Amino acid sequence: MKELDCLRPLRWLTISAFLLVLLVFKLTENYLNRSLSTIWATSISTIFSLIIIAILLFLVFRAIYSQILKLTISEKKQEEMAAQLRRSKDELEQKNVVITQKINELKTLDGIGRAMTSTMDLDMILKIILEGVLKQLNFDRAIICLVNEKEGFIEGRQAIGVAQKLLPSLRIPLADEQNPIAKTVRDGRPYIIARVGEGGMRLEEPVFWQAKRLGSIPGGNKAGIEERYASEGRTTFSEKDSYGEIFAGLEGKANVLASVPLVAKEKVNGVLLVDNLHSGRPIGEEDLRSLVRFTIEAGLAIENARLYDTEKRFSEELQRQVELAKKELREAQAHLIHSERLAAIGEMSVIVAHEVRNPMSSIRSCAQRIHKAVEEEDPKKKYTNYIMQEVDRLERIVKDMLTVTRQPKPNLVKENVNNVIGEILLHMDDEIRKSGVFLIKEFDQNLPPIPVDPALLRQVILNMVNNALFFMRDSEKKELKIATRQDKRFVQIIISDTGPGIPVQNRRRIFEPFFSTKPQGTGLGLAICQRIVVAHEGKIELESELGKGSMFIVRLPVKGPRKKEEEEALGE
Amino acid sequence: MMKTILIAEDEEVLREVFKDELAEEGYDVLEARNAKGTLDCLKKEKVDLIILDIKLPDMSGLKLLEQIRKQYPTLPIVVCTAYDTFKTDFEIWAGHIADYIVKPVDLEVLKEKIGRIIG
Repeated sequence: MKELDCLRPLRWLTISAFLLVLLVFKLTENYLNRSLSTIWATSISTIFSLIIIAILLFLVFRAIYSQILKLTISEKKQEEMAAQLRRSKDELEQKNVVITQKINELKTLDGIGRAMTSTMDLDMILKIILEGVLKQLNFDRAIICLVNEKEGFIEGRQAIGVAQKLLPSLRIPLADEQNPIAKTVRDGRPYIIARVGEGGMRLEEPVFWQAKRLGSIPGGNKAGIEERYASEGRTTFSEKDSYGEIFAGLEGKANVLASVPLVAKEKVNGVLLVDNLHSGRPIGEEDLRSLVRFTIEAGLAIENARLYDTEKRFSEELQRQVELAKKELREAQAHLIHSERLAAIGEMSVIVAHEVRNPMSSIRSCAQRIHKAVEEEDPKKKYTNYIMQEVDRLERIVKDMLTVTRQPKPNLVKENVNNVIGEILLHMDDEIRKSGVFLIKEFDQNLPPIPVDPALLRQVILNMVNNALFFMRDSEKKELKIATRQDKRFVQIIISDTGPGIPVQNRRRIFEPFFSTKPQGTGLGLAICQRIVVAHEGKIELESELGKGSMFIVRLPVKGPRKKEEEEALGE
Repeated sequence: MMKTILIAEDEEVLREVFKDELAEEGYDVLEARNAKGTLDCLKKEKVDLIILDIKLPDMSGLKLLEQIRKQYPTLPIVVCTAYDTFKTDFEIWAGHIADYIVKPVDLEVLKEKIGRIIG
């Protein structure tokens, strides 16, 4: 009864009022007793008192009544307020839900944003974007198309909900006036594809976007805008389109497909396509708003990844070119050193050769004369023979030395390499048989005749076969294989042995002049071979395995030395 | 009639060996050790063939060759040289000399060549 607390002072007021009435009655009676009779005095006093009592009672009841009235009113108010509060609470709760949603959305966007910036891998970023779109913004399918500026196309790059094999078919010329995706890129505006139906589709620009684009909503007249975006025109995904299959299921459904540009630095890099193929849920303004918000960050992430990718590829290419240039430089340097060395040796060889050949000639001729004079049975004849043989050996060394320092000039004729090899093997037949080597010939019978200098080529093969025979002298298995093959540009001569193989550290050096592991070798044989093959614009490759053997592959160009031909052409 | 061969060679040993060998073969052999001697000898004697070292001390081989060819257009010349590139280097002379031989000389080859020319 808290409400009646306000009446408590009334009790005291009533008591004091009665006491006051009693006092007034007594005072009035005493005053009237002086002039009137006791009965009149008492009566008048009583009436006077009663009047006062009545007045007091009236006042009290009025006060009580007003209090009660007040109480009733406040109760009503309270009820009203409670209702109001309940309403506010509901609203608040609703708003709370929306805010929570928004917070979640923002959190997700932020998460996606961070995920996007955490990687520079374009495909990874596209995947994050697509997953984010589907999970957070509740679309059924999403496709990202990227602009290929070089070729003037917009191409499907990644998608969720669309078969991967269909994506390559999504390749639309940027200039295609009728295509909604190309139009999205050109206009840099999001579109809801309002209706997909026979003969095409209708594009609508979202209200909020148009409002933003036009600066304000004229008088809040939404209808006006709707009218305007309806006039954006008709455009088609025609059945003839190669990618028609992707959008086939959307026919007849309204507002289920949206196309949003992916923008960075005011440039459209691609388009995000979303639809609700399965649920058929129309895409609303709010969906579009979230989507656009989302694509702001996505567009930037894509642009960054693309830039990074280009930069990376550019720097990789640069690195590759630098490496190549370095390698070429090293080779050129090595070649220069080699050439300089050879030139120096060459100059000296010519002088030495000339000076040495004169006394050699004298020795040989003298020995020849003594040889002739000595009787056939005389054991001394052996020695004159030795002298002549040794002079001949000296002469071979001098000759090799001169050859290695000269750039051989091949005298080219069209010849089948098989024939050249065959000739040599015929000559060496005896030697090969004597050394206990088993010869295997694998000639490609379809070898075309190629421009070679047969004399020089003979020298190369002779040298290699001789080497093979020499190094197999102590091998258990003695097998010499000579094969010919051809590919597009080269005829190959493959000479392999089952000798001890060449140690890694010697593999480069064996082609250097004066490098030899033969006790009596001059170290010029392979150097000469190399120069002869190089003069043909071919090359010699070596494969070797210790304990198993070595294989030399001589590659001679089918078309012959190019330079020579050019020179001849120039000469003509 | 005995054929006369002039050996123009600055290497003394070689000249002597050639001389002995060819004399044994029945040739009349004359010797010259330089270009001047060669030209003098050719002037004085009737020579049937000359073995000419292309590198004599007092004159370039080519110059000497040219001079001999001019003065004795029909004299067979066998060039004896230590340059094995003679064939390519002196290709221009191919039609003007009878033959050439590269040192170290095989006497049998030399005799065979001479025999073919004046035998």
